[in-house]
Amino acid sequence: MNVAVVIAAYNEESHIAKTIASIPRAITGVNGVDVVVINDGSKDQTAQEAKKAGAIVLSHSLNRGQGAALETGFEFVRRKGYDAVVTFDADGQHKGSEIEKMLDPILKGETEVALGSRFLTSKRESNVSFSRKAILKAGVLFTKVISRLHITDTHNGFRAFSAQALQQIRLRQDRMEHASEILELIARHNISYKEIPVVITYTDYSRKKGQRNSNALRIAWRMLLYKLERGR
Amino acid sequence: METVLIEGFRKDFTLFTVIVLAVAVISWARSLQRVLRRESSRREFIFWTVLWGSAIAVICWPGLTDQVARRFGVARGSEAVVYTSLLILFYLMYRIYAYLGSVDHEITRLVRELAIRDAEHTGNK
Repeated sequence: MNVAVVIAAYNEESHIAKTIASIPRAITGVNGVDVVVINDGSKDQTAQEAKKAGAIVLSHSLNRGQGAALETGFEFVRRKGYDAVVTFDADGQHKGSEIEKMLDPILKGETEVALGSRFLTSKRESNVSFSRKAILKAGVLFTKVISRLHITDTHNGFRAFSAQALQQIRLRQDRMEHASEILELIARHNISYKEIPVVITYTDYSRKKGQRNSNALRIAWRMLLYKLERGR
Repeated sequence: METVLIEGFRKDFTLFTVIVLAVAVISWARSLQRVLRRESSRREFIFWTVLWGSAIAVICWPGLTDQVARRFGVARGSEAVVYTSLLILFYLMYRIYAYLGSVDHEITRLVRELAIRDAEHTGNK
């Protein structure tokens, strides 16, 4: 079984090499692990640093958003015939050592999709701020209403998909709405999923690079329009 | 100036109505020119013909809007024109929004395809 770890990166020259180095290349039950970095129109040396660190690099000539970058990675994975894909954040919030437990239920055939959840770990492990937690909890409620899925962490970038699931998960949302779209597609196509406890580590760097809480309303609005467009 | 009969053709063309009429006729003529040169579709020409034709009809038969409005239960022609214009504007805004969304999506698809082909071409697997 060959696995690709897809990382969408925008202006991450200072952290991308460290993030790539944290990804294990030997996983039980997996023949090979490739790291695929989608350089989303970065204005710095992200692509060069990622190449130096041994990743396969695909570069967008224009910045199109994290959703667009992930779908580029997914399309590359489909064309190259990987058996599974893991999405991993570029800013060091995720732990490479947890990739194996994300892949485990997929390798065993227990599920098609594994979704990381920071809320299934103990409170001390993930240092989520109160305001961010409140926004994420609102996202959980929104997802319950819109997609009828019971997920504890709706905007966690740490996910794993089987090749079969990836045939049905084709993202059209270019920006941060893709996270809600993934859940919508899982619900629409009745794809099996399992939540896996993962640790999210916020640093000053990741907080500065990450999404503002005020984006939540925009994401919710875009998802409502997406649902109307899809006719459900 | 003598006021026009409601059902009749306007007899008192002011400078303003002449200018507006000229603009409507010229605009329609330009849309005709574009469709004859195949620079626009027949559907677009029909749309502009209806729009400019309505404007010309309202200018030349000012009582027309009141007659049409009363049939739809609206008291005055001017109100009917405002309501109809708003509906058309909202519809056009929606169409423009949808078109921009599809153009945005096409740009992403193009950027994606170029990225993948470039990676394959440079031997990046």
